[in-house]
Amino acid sequence: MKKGICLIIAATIALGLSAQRSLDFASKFMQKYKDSTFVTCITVSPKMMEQIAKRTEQNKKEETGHIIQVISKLKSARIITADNHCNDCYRTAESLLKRNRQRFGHSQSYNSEHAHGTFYTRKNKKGSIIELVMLHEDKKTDRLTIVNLTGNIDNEFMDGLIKAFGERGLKP
Amino acid sequence: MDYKYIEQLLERYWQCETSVEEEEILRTFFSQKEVPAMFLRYRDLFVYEQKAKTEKPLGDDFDAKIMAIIEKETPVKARTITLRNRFMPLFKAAAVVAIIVTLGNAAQLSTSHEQNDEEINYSDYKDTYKDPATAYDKVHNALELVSEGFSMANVSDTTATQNITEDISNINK
Repeated sequence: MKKGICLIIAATIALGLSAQRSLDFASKFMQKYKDSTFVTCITVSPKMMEQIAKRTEQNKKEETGHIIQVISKLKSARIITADNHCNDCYRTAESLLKRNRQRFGHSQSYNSEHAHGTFYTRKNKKGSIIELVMLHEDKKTDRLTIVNLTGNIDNEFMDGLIKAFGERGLKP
Repeated sequence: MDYKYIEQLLERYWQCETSVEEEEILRTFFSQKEVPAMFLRYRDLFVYEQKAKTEKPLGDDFDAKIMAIIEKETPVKARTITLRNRFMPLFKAAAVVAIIVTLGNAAQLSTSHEQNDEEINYSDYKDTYKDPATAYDKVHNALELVSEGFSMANVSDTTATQNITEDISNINK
């Protein structure tokens, strides 16, 4: 009887662990660098994002109107910066994204004189982008920045981004 | 011969009134080879008692014999433990682990089809900044960087497309 109960409890725990909610990319990346001193992560939770949206709404000015549109689409934001071993961190991040091909799809890459980077997106069943990951390595400052946004990254988001930061022929 | 005395003694014997000496007299009388016919039926009673007396008591070695029997080691039956019996607990443990892992994998497989729809676990999110103004600045900078990145990516695409187009036209020439 006791053995049966223990078995049922163990099976329930295993099921629970397996069926857990997923972690975002930034969390998985930080698991690898949790003990490092040169990697920092700034987290803006959904609650804080709501407060930001309310705040920008209250301080509504013409120049921030498009930002409101963009921020309203976001659920959370995580910004990771690395000031050392940037190349290794970039490669680690990219391999982590490539390993999770089921989840993250490559969108675009760029390589200029002073920086190079890449975009990965995660879509839901309906085809909407729910997570955006950007890897950006600045060759001049030797600094890596990873931007991990979650929310509803749709055309309205991109539209707002263009209008907020200038039309430069942006495509989602 | 007159056995009146013997009869009297017997009467007293049945009444349990005989002394030890009188009982000895009766035993001696019935121990004789020839006992009168009228007393024959009582003979076995007194002779049995006599026989019991003459029986040898337990010897000195009786205790030793009994102790030897008690302390005798009983042979232990050898139980053969087969290799299967030895590994049985391990097999049971492995079966339990296999069941749990199978259940876990089944749950994972059933949720993997909806992997993209999975809600992100925000419970571990701890805001770096308590002040929304500071957080807004960081988000703003990040969005600006994303915008720049998209811009550079699109420029690269355009340049790449132009280069490819030029190469194709050169080949055609």
